[in-house]
Amino acid sequence: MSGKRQLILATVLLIAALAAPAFVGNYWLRVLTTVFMFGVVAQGLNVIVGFAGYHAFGNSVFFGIGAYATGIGMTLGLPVWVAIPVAVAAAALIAAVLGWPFLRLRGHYFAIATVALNAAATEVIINIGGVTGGAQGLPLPFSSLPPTLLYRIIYFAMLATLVLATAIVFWLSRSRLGYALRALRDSESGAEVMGVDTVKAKILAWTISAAMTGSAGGLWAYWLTFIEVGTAFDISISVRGYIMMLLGGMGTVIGPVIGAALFQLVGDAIWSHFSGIHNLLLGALVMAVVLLVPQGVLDSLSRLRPPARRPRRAAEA
Amino acid sequence: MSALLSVDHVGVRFGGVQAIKDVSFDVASGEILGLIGPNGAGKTTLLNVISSLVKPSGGRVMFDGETITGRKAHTIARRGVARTFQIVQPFRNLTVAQNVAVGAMFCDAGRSATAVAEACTEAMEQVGIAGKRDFLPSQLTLSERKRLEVARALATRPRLLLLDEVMAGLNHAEIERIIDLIRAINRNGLTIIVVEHVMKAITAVCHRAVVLQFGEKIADGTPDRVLSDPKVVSAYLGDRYARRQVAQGAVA
Repeated sequence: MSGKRQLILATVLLIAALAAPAFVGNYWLRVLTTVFMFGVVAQGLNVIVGFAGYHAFGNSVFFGIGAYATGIGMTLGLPVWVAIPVAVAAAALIAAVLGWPFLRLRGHYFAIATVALNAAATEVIINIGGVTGGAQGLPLPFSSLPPTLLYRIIYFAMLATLVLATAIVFWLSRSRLGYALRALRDSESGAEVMGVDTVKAKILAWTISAAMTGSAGGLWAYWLTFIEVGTAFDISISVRGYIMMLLGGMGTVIGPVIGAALFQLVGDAIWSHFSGIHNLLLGALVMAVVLLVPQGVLDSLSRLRPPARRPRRAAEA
Repeated sequence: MSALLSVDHVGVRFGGVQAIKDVSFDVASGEILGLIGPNGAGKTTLLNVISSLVKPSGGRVMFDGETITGRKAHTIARRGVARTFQIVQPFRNLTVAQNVAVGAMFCDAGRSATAVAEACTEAMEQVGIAGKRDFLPSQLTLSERKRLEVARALATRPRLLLLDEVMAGLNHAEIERIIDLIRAINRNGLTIIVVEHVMKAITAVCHRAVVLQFGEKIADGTPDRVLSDPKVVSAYLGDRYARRQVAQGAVA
C-alpha cells in the first residue's frame, strides 16, 4: 500500500479513535484501550523483527520491565507521569546493555536468547521480593480520580503512545537507520561491506523496540493497579504482538496497528459468541492468516488493485 | 607507483584446515591485479581477510599505509575498500536504486540526500542499470544483478575495489561488457583486484596476476608470464600435462 494511502487510512483511524469515547460505553472503551496497547507492542516488534529481521519472541520481557518499574516507582512515591517515563528509560537501557552481547548472535540464537531473558526476569522479580512484591504480586497506589475520568485518561494516554510509536516507525521507514536495518535484514555481510555498522544499528533498533514495549507495560500496570509476574511477563503478550504484526504486515508503517485492531476485535467477538471453543477458532484464524495473507492485509489490499507499478510498491514497505 | 594495499605474510586457519599460508603481495595504486587459482585455492578467503569478514590467524593487511587487520568491516568500507560477492547478495526487499543508495549513504556520513541521490544515479549509469532503478533485484537478470553488485560497491566511492567472480555464469557478450566496465572504472584511477576463472578476462584487463594454489602463492607477474609458468599450468591441468608441455617445448 502506498505511503499516501497509509497516511489517509491512519488519519481516518485516528479521528475515529479520538471521537470514540464520546459514543461508546465502558466495555468498548476497555476493548479499544487494549487494542492500542497491543498496537504499541506490535509496533515494538515491527522495529526489531519487521525492519531488522531479528526475531524477538521474548520481547514481552520489556512489557514486564515497564510494568514493574512503573509499579515500583509509584510505590516509592513517584507520580505516574514520572514513573512511566522512568520505566521506559529502564526498559531501553536494559535492551541497550543486553543488546551488546545478544545482538552479536546472528539469526535464531537471538530469538532463543530473548525467550531465556524473559524466563530469567520472572525468576529475578520473584526472588528479589521486597519492593517488587515477589510472588505475591505488586499492588499500585490507587488514583484519587473518579473511575470514568481515569479510564478515559488511560484511553487517551494509550492512544497517544500508539500514535508516537507509529510516528517513530514512520520516521524509521525513511531514515538512514531504517535503510541500515532493512539492508542488514536482507544481507548482513552485504551491509557491513557497504559501511553499515550493523551491531550499532541492531542495538538501536532493539532499544527503540524495548522502549515502546516498556511504555505499553507501564500504562498497563497503572490501568490494572495490580501486577504479578505471571501476567506481566506472559510470553503470550509477544506472541499476540507477533500475530498482529504479521496480520497487518510487518515492515509497514501502520500494518501492525491494523493487525492489532483486527485481531483484538475479531478475537473479542469470537470469545463472546463461542466461549467454549474460543482458542480453537482463534488458532484456526491464525493459521488461515499465515497461509492466505503471509505478507499481511495491507499488502493484500494493495494487490486487489491492478498491479500497475508493482516494483515500486515493495520498496515502500 | 606506491603500494595502496599490502598483504603481508597473511595466514588463515579454519580449524585444522590451513586455507591460506603465508601469502604476501602488494597492489600499486591504479593497478588491476588478477587473483587466480583453482577452486579452493583461497581466493575468496583472501578477499574476506582484506574486507575484514574473516580474521587472519597471522600476518597483516595494510591499506594506504595503515594496518587494517582486526578492524571492523564497516570501518574498512568507509576507508575506501569496496567489494562484490561471488554469490550476489542484493538487499532483496529494496529496489535497485535503494540498494545502491545504501552504499552512498553510509560511506560518507556527511553526504546530503541530494548528494546520495547523485552518487547513486552516477553508479547505476556507470554499470548500465539506471533504467531498472525501481525494479526489485529478483526482477533482474544474473548479468544485471552482478552489475548491481558493482554499482553498490562504486556508490561507496572506493579507492580499492575487490571483484569476486563478477563474470561467473555470464555469456560472452555479457563478459565483454563487464571487461569494458572494469577498464572504464580503472581509467578513473580506481585500483582493482579481480578474482576470476575466466582467463580471457584476466589477460584482457589485468596488469599483473597473483596465482594461489592450496592457499599458497605460486606465481606473481604479468598475466602472460604467469599463465605460461609450468607451476601454474600444473596447478590447473595437472603435473603430467605440464611435463608433456615442457617436453614438447624442448623438442620444438
